[in-house]
This record gives sequence, structure tokens and C-alpha cells, in this order.
Amino acid sequence: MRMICLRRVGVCLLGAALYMALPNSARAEGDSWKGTSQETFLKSALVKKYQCFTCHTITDTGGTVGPILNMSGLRREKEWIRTWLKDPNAIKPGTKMPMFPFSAQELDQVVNFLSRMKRPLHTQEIINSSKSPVEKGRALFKDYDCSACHRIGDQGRFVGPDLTFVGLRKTEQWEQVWLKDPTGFKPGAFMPNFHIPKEGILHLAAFLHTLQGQENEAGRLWEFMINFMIDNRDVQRGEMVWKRMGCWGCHGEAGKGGIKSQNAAAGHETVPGLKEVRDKYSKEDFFKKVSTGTQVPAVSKDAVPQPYACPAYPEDALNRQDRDDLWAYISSLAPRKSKWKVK
Amino acid sequence: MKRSFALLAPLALVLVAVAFEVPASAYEIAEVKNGGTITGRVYFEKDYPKPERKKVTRDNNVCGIRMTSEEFVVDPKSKGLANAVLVLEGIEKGKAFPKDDKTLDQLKCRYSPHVMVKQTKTTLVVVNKDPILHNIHAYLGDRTLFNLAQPIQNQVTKKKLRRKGVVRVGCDVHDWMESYVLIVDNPYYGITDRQGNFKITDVPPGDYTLKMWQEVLGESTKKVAVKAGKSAKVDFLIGE
Repeated sequence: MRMICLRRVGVCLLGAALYMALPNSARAEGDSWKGTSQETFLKSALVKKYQCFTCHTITDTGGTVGPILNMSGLRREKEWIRTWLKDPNAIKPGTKMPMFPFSAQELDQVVNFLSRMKRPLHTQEIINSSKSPVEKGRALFKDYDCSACHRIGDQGRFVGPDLTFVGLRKTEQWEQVWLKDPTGFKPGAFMPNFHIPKEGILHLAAFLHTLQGQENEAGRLWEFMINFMIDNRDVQRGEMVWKRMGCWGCHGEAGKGGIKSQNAAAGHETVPGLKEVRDKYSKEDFFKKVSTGTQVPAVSKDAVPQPYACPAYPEDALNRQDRDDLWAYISSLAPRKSKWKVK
Repeated sequence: MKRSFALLAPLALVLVAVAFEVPASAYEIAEVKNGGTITGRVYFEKDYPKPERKKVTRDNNVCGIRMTSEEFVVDPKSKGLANAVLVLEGIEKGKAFPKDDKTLDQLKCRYSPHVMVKQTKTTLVVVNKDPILHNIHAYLGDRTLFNLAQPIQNQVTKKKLRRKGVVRVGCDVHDWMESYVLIVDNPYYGITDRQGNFKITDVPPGDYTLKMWQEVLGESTKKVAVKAGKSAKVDFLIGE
């Protein structure tokens, strides 16, 4: 009995030590906000009252549920912020962000603060530098604070799709079209238009296309550390694998499906949901599909960019634990089947 | 001027009726003479699910370290199942609704009670009794019904419940928090106690369908005949 307890304590301590040693993605990188009026606002009674830090990282501290807010003024117009805060569910149905009981004055203060959360960009400087296109793209990714909503490996947040494998899912051309005008391409998309100059878009697309799983190990290790802190169940771990693989971007939140594909030919316009996978596929067949991928006919042979397809994830993208956990999560999307029945 | 008003008046009446959701046949309160009673138990036949313990992953100073899932609350002695809701279907006339001032509390990062029953067109009152941020994220099926923040201790939120149905209520900050609000259109319902017992009184004599709802088991029905002044027994047995 004592041996088992010691072992468990030892593992927990080791886990905690390893977690502390890893880059802590709960802390946002970036400039110091010391001495700014934004810093003063963050110490105000209003912020304390509404506990924004519970879910958001602002400056260099806070939670990981929602986006990092350091560049919210870059991403969103004042009116959008106001409309969002008044009723988030109207803009993004099902969002975790609740409606807060702000008074009119409090709402003004919060809107003003968020619209002032931005730092100057270095777009032209980066474009004019002597770096390679991919390195310029990497620098622009950092400058525009894409990690505020996106994840690569163990860095970033979970608002937009995980980009660890985006180079497998999307062509460079697709990224160029997307970055130019997200809502123009996909009406109702949550991602704003950053109005990036054309050359910057080319560099960013080149960078994104190189992301084909190099950071997968870092992401997996971060999840392993987090499992010591969360309820370590296969369905919960599986949900993190689901996010890391970027499935929801096409298959929808909780595999609900019905996402319209702008590129696909008639009869293939919507991406299927995954709620029936548990009942329609065996575990082996499901992973065979994941590793061979799916292609659909394009809306026309000249269609640029390439239509949505489920990419062929390489064998080592998912290790055995990932597969078991992901299967548990996908199974949980199907209607609950309890062994207990009313007689 | 007069003519256009005469034309508009019926239209206005229709609009008013639609706005106030005048139903085709509303429940009618009428005296129940010599009503019967339905009693029964919801219980496990042999084996029963053991309580599932989950880790509390944040705000441990308020929420504790572990919580017990309430999806199956079974009394080990009687094997009775608590929090199952029994509702008489299709009853349109009878006793009045009981006085209802029960609140849904967010307390120590749990919802209390785990299951409650509300009448259609009444108000759900949710109170945050904790000193931390909770939100009230209510779902009808997969769709968000509403999502409201309660950052302040003792904050009260009131929300009108319009239609019959099962509303699941969660919190996005503390994802283990869960409760169910069943909205019914007649007062002939019961919620099983810790031993799985329920009782429905003042039932007008007649033949009915009794529906049982439980969050994992879903819905199942049994027929029941209620005689004047008598008690009818209906049990729901659960097995593998």
C-alpha cells in the first residue's frame, strides 16, 4: 500500500517538475505592458468584478479558455467588440463566452479598453528584410499575434483551428485566398480580415504550408503534462487529440458536420459530421480512413484553391495512446449508449 | 381612417395572440373530487452503477478537489435511483401547480438541485452563491438557449422558460457542473427521492400514460389506471 502511494506521489512530482520546465503556453510572449494605461485598467475594480482573467490571457497572465486579448484592437473594430459583448451567442452560436451584465458605462469602458489593446505592426519591415519567404511568414505570424487564437504545437490558444498539421490540410494557394478575405470566402467565418498586404500573405501562406506536424511532439508533450492537472480520462485526452489534428475546422464542433465546402462539386458541398462513426465504422477502418485521406471532386477543374479534403495523416501523427483516446472521444459524439435499461 | 382600423384590428388581435403564445389547448385548473394517487419506485434490479468520481480541475479553494458525478445517484441499501422525473402525459385539467420558489443555485461549483421541474411560462431563477465566476450555459439539445455570466457572488439571473422540454444547464468555466431543468405543462409530476420513491396526488380518475425521464436512461412509459380515492402503484425496474 505504501509503495503504491509513494510511486503515485513521485510521478505527480515528476510531472509537476516537467510541467514547470516546459515553455508554459499559459503565459503569452510579447512586450511588457508595464506603465501603460492598459495595465492600470487591468488592475481596476471593473476587471476584478467581471474576472476576465479567468478565461483570457491579457498582457502576460490569465486563462486559456478564450483568445489572448493583447491584439484585440488590431483584430476587431470598436463596433464589433460592442456587438460581441452585448450578445456573443448571436455572433458565434454555442460560444463559451457568456453575456455579461455590464451597465452601459461599464460596456463603454470595456469596449474602449479592448479597442486600445494593440501594438504597432512591423509588416513592411519584415517584408523588406533579407529573410527567406518562410522565415518572413513566421515573423509575420508572430507580429500579427496569430497565436492569440491558433495553436502550433504547445503554443497558442484554441479558438481557431490548430495549425500543427495545416500544411497537410490546405494548399499554399488556399491559404492565400483565405488570408485575403476569410468572410468573403466563407460567410459567417469568425476569423477577421487582417488586411495583410499581398506580399505578406504570400509569405504567411508559404510558412503555413511548412506546418506538417513538426510541432506535433511538443503539442503531445504539453497534453501529457496537462493530464496531470485535469481529469485524466480517455474522452478528455481524446478531445485534445481531436483539436491537435484540426478535425473540427471541417467536421464542425463536436463533429456536428454540415460545414459548407466552397470548393466542392455538387453533392459534396457539406463536410459530413462524425456522430455516426462509432456505429458505422470499426476502430481499424476509421484510422485507415484517417491515414489514407479523402478527396472530393472540385467545383471545376480550374478551381483554385484545392477543394476541402481530409488529408492523409502520416502514421506517426497519432501514436497508440492518441488513437485509443481519439477513438474514445469520437465514440462519445454518438448518442450515449448505456448498459442500463428500463425493463 | 375608420375603415383601415376595422381591417387592421383582426390582424392586430392575431399578432397579439401569437406574441403571447396562446396555445391551442392550455392546461385548465379545476377542482379534483375524489382524486387518486400514483406511487412507485425507480430502482435497480441487481447490480447498479457505482458513483463516478471526477477531478476538480480549477478553483480548488472553492470547488474542492474531487466531485462525484450525479448522473446516477443510487442508494446502496434500497438500490433506488434518485432524480428521475415522472410525468403524467396528456392531462389537461386538474389541480393547480404547486407554489414554486425554488432557485437553481451555483454552490461550491455544483448546480443544486441537480434536477428540477418547472412549469411552462414561469421564470427560472439562478443564484451564484460562490465568490468566483460561473456562467449559466443552457442548452436545448445541441443548441444554446442562453449563456449568461454570473461573476458576482449572490448575483441572481432570471430567465423565462417558454416551452416544454429538457434544458441542460452547464458552466464553461467549470465543465463538470451540470443540471437539468424539465419544463412541463401540467402539475402531475414527481421527482424520485434518494430511495427512488415518488408520489403524484390528486389525479382525476382515468387511464393515463406515465412517462419516466432520467438523464442517461432517457424516456420510458408505462400505462396506469387511476381509480377514485385509490392509490395505483407503478414501478420502474432497471437492469443490464
